[in-house]
Amino acid sequence: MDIQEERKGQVVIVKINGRLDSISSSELESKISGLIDKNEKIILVDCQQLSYVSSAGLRVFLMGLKKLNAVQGKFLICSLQDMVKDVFDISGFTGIFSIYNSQNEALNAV
Amino acid sequence: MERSCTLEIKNELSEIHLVNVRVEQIAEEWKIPPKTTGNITLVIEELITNIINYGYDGGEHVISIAFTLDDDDLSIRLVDDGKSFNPLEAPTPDINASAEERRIGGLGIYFAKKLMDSLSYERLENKNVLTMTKNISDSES
Repeated sequence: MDIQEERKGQVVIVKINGRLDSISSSELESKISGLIDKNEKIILVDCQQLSYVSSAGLRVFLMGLKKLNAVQGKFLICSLQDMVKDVFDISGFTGIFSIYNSQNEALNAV
Repeated sequence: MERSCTLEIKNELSEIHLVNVRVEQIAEEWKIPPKTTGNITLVIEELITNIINYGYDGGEHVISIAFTLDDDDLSIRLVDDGKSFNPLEAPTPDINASAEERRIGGLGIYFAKKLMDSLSYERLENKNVLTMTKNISDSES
């Protein structure tokens, strides 16, 4: 898995490339926790290149959402591939996250 | 025609990548549809992660994963010598809970129940034996 960070205005975009599983999820966890510790309030996770997610990855998304909700921030997700979307649907995560079809759509919603 | 393949791994999370590679190979040889393969990969990762994280009080152990394909019926049998644990008795997570009340625990087993056709558990000779089945002809479901 590979993580890239980009900033657009007040939004930090975190792009994940590869598989988010029991092994790689800790890397994303440190990245997102680090951003929140630095007082970032709006994080958009771009999943266009994310091909796989397991519950270990979902746990990191949930952590980001809870932490940012607690400080009146926003945790957004965009561009889910089919496999990842299915996992979000089965877990009931589709209902608790703000999920957008594209990065632009998410940025416009901020 | 029946085909089978057994994989043995150590109780280390890094072994999951090895499992993924083998599952991909088996899926290709046995012509398992991609979506089913993705689901199988997910379920195995979840169950093995649980075994590795919660099944042992240290030490090196072997977890075995046996795949059998009989016509379109795929069976996956996971055997570990960890603490007795029946995943079928695990509480179902509340998937309708709000973000604040959501918990991740139990989600992996929930995936197995949702994505496989059947699950059965036995404690045999001090080992946990979990057998899952999946018909691979109903393709993209």
